[in-house]
Amino acid sequence: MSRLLRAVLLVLSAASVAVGLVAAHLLVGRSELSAGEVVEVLTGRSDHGAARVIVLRYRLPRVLLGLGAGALLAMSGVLVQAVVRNPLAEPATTGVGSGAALGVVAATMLGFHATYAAALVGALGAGLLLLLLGRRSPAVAGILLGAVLAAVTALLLVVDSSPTSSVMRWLVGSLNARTAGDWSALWPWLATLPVAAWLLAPWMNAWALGAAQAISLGVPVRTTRVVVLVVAVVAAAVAIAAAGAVAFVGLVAPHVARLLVGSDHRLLVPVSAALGAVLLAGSDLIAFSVGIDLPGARDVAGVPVGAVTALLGAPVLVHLVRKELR
Amino acid sequence: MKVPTEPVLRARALGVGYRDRQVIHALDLRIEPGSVTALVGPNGSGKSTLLHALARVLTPTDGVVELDGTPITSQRSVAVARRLALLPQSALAPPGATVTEVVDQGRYPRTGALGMLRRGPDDAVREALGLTGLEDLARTPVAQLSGGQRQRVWIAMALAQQTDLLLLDEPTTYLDVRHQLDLMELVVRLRDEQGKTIVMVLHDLNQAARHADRIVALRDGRILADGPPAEVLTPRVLHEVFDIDALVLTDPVTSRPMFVAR
Ligand SMILES: Nc1ncnc2c1ncn2[C@@H]1O[C@H](COP(=O)(O)OP(=O)(O)OP(=O)(O)O)[C@@H](O)[C@H]1O
Ligand SMILES: [Mg+2]
Repeated sequence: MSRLLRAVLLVLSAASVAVGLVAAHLLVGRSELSAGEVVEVLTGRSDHGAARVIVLRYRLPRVLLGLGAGALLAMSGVLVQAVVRNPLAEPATTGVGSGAALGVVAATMLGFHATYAAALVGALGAGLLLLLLGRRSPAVAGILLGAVLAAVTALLLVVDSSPTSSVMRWLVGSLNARTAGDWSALWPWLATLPVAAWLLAPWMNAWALGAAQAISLGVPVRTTRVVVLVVAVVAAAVAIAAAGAVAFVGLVAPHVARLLVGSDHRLLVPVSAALGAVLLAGSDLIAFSVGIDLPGARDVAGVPVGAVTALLGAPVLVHLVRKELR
Repeated sequence: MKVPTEPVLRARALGVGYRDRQVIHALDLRIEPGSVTALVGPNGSGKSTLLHALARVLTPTDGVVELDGTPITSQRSVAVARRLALLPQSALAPPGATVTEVVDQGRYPRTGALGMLRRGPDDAVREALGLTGLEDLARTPVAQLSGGQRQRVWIAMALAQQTDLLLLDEPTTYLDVRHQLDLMELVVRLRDEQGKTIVMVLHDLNQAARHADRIVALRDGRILADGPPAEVLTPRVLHEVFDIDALVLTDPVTSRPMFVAR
């Protein structure tokens, strides 16, 4: 029970940090808005048109996107780690993230703007390849697959001689210049995918004992693997469609969650999601504050949040690799 | 006179293999209800493979395994898991999981996935922890246990499944003498008090002779000897199965056969 209590407290503290992050995101920006003006906009009592646009069209959607995409990436990380039985797995290291990014980049270059569909096609394709190629050692297959897909993306960028910064933001992950429209595309997924992921927890708990044990418990291992992978891939694709291929959130949040609440997926899924949400939105606050005075910061060229998560996540990755090798 | 009973578990012309290698060849085996069977044989003789096929973890290449008279592969996997529990030779400890959390997984076949979502450890889990002497370790992470303590966790998990049939692959590995004896006594008690059927792989032949009703000796995926300990633990069988030259004596405590190598 103590782990359950700890998980509840963690989710509650993450929620209060999230509230703080929302407040900070609403107040920090190029245009000076007072707290009073922001509250007036949020309560619908403001007649200041520009303030309404800044808060409702730009600032609020941006922080909500950060929280949502962070939660989905972390959740996807937990699911992928369960499938390949390796704590180093996450969308970015299994090829799923590269697949989604490749899908979006290819679609953008071809002039399609169906970002979500493109990310889903790319990520599901990568997930399918992972299932086919990775029977023996899924972790290694994922890393190779990711490298190959990233190389294909790089090739596309070379062939298309005018790589715009809007393509680059999918590769590194950026929340710059996101608007209310991006949020309305994301929230339906956010309302459903976490519930789906949580429902899969008993299967993931059984797999953790090894395939023979899971089968002998009556867990349909083959079908549940596909189901969990599909939910993981869809969550990653949606998060990447919203925020680009942000690395490390899917690695760091589950890792910290495991240290805090253990390996019961019933707790791991919600705690990881909560941590991932504040991790991405928090990193984005840093990215935004650092980039605010840089030229072009108002549009997509600002500091990408993916650069911040990479800096924060790299030490955790090194730590995990060393632990694995020991 | 003994009335012939219907076997609970039966292998008919069973063949099992991996990819290109056939490990079990045309094997016939009947497991009677309420009996303790010891499976013995040299390393690589196919004991684990046979046990996995009996627990439908492996699909046979030939023949069938029947559980309660019906082919095991045609039964629902959860229904099978309610009838038989398997203790694999090498189980994996999920990093960070506590003893209770692992033993609790044994309830999956009874509660189903949805049940596992909302419930906590129940009486069956507590009973299994008690039977294996793990109450004091209930909250300890499995990764921090000794080999023998960990082995008892897997046994507790199989017991928590509350099945009539237990298939145990080398349950006494890693256990000290005291816990080996405790486990063998537990096995006999489960048979006598609850009428359970137990099939276990043992390497200690004297242990097998002492506690099992029947010994099945396997070599190269074939049964070379099958019967009560007195019939199987003979110099001839020991030579044929293990290539050892042995002297068979009578255990002064149990009057069962016991052997010493020459
Ligand atoms: N997963 C596998 N893939 C391929 N071959 C396997 C696999 N598992 C076992 N084998 C082979 O099948 C044969 C029988 O193995 P099995 O594990 O059944 O032996 P065992 O009697 O349990 O041995 P031990 O006493 O060492 O546990 C061995 O030759 C082994 O190499
Ligand atoms: Mg074996």
